[in-house]
Amino acid sequence: MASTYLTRTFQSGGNVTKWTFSAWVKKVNIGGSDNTIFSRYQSSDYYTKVGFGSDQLIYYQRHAGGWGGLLESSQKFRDVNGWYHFVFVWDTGNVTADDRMKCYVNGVQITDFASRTNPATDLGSTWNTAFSQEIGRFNSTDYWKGYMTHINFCDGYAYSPTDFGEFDSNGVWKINTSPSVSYGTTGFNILKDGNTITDSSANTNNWTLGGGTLSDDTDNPSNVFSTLNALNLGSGGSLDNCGNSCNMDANAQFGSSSTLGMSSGKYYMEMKYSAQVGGADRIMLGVSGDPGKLRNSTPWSGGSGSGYVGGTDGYGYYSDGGNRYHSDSATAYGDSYTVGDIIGIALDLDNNRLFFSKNGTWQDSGDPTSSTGAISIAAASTTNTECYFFAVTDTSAVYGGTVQCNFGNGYFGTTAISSAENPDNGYGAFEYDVPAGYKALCTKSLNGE
Amino acid sequence: MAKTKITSGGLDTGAVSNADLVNSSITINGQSVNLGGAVSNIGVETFPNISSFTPTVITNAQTSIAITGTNFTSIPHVEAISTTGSITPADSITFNSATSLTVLFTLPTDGTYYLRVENPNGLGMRTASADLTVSDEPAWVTASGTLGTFSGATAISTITLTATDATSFAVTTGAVTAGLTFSTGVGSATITGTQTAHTSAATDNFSVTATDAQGQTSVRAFSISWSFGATGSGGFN
Repeated sequence: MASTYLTRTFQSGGNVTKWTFSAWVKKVNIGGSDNTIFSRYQSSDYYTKVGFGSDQLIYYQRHAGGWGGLLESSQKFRDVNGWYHFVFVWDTGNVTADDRMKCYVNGVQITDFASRTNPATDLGSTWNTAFSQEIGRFNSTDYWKGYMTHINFCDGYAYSPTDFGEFDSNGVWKINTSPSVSYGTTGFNILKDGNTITDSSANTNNWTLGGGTLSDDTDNPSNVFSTLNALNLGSGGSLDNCGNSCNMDANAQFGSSSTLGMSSGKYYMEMKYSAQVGGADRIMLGVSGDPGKLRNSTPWSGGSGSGYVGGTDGYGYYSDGGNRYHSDSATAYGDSYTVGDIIGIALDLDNNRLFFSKNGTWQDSGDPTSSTGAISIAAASTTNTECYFFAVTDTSAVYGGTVQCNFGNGYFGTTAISSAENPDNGYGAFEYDVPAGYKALCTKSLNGE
Repeated sequence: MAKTKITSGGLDTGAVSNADLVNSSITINGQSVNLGGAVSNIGVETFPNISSFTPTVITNAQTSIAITGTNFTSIPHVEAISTTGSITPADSITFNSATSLTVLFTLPTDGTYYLRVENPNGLGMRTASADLTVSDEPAWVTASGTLGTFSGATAISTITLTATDATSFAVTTGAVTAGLTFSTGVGSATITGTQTAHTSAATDNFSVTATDAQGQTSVRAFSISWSFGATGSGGFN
């Protein structure tokens, strides 16, 4: 359950009729209202709230008990892998009513709204007043669950998205990490390439961590790292820690998969079995070429092939006994594992090999840089999705647990890895040595960098 | 008085005394010459002479040429004579001195030319060889200004600079960003590599001079901008 938010009491002099808020965000969950980007709550009659509600973008200004201004996008934002760039403009001095509140996503103005109320001329926002403002929370609830980076707030200025990003030659919206903008009196630039909440603008409008843990992650708009996929999460499961931890309750026999798939190359990740539910270890970790099975079926299929390790394109390493599973068959493989153990997975899709390690020791005398101890797997091209996904699940309707994934961000939950082992290409940080040639599952790795 | 021709032999020394001559002089080519005095400028035609001129390579546009030589008299006629035979008079002629002329030529046809100077007395001289070359300077195809914004973290896609008729290129003002390689070629130059100069957004300016086979040059200013992607984020746990 997310509990992290930032707070700052603004000084007086902020412009309440004109400002711009720009942020890159990665939204890792689906539905609900717990996705506040920034807010100022004075009372139920006066507040500013910007974020998501049921995956629709919301940009609210409550005023005197009514909607001083309101934008609710028709569009739903359900990408739990990519980064979004949002720009919110408040400019109530604008003579054009539709231009007094504007919002943009990835350089394009949102103009299709399920609901819209334009502010009156020169209506003041609750945000940017000389009171406590928050990022990542609204009125002590609706916490942001995900990542944010490069937040720019420009007091007294109405900027366009092109002041913060640009389209590249492929039409992809890209971040400008050093925008040439003015910040006015209350403006600031925080979370610039990490978790620093010290103002990077010429102002010294530093923020404070109000609660929770603001981790310093490598996931960013220029190199998107995999997380677990909220769109492929079985019932009884939930994701925490920006989509990197999977909680599987005692009733669940389902799990989740990585957001990014792999069709070629060599990849490495780590999963820490961090909590047990029900008194027994029933965790299965591995890879799947048909990740939908993780959401829809128990791992076992009784020969029907419907389970994650029941078919021909799923491979798992089981906590209970240390066997490996494939096509509903168990094969003696390695050590059993329990709470606190870190399982490494090395997937070599150039040679169709799979390896597991436990706390840094490759099982079955495996060597990911050779064929020794390798689990031979079907070619990715032969699987249902023509690629593999990292997979996590529990196997029991009685037991469950939590698995914390490190796709390269360098954390298990909110705990940073104790050592920082980097892949050869330098992207990602892991607890244990990354085999030569293997990479973290991120877009730069997938692009061959 | 009847005149007597001497058709053979001659007169002995002293056969004719000065007193026998009108004004003790004789007239040669209309000029009275005292007998026993020095003879000068008798029968000598003074021609102008071109020793050099600059520049020797020009474009089709009107161009000033400085001619150095001797015996120029104001104001001579100056013309360019193509090796194909066509004659183009100078647009204007400035007589600086007997050894210096400044002339403006507009020669719309590429080729090689002789220069000829003719004094007002009709005496003229042409250069011995067609030392004036008229040709187009390299014409830039690549537009000036920004060559693009590139990621500062990775190798750039090759930038090609093109100029028609150029045989070589050189960076003559500023420099390409450290880490990049500028390679000259015939007709085009390339810029490749991975920059090492910057860690945050920046723009570098430089000029490239294209040179043709005749040594003519054309300069163009360019810039390369560098962007740097994000490298991290804050995780709201």
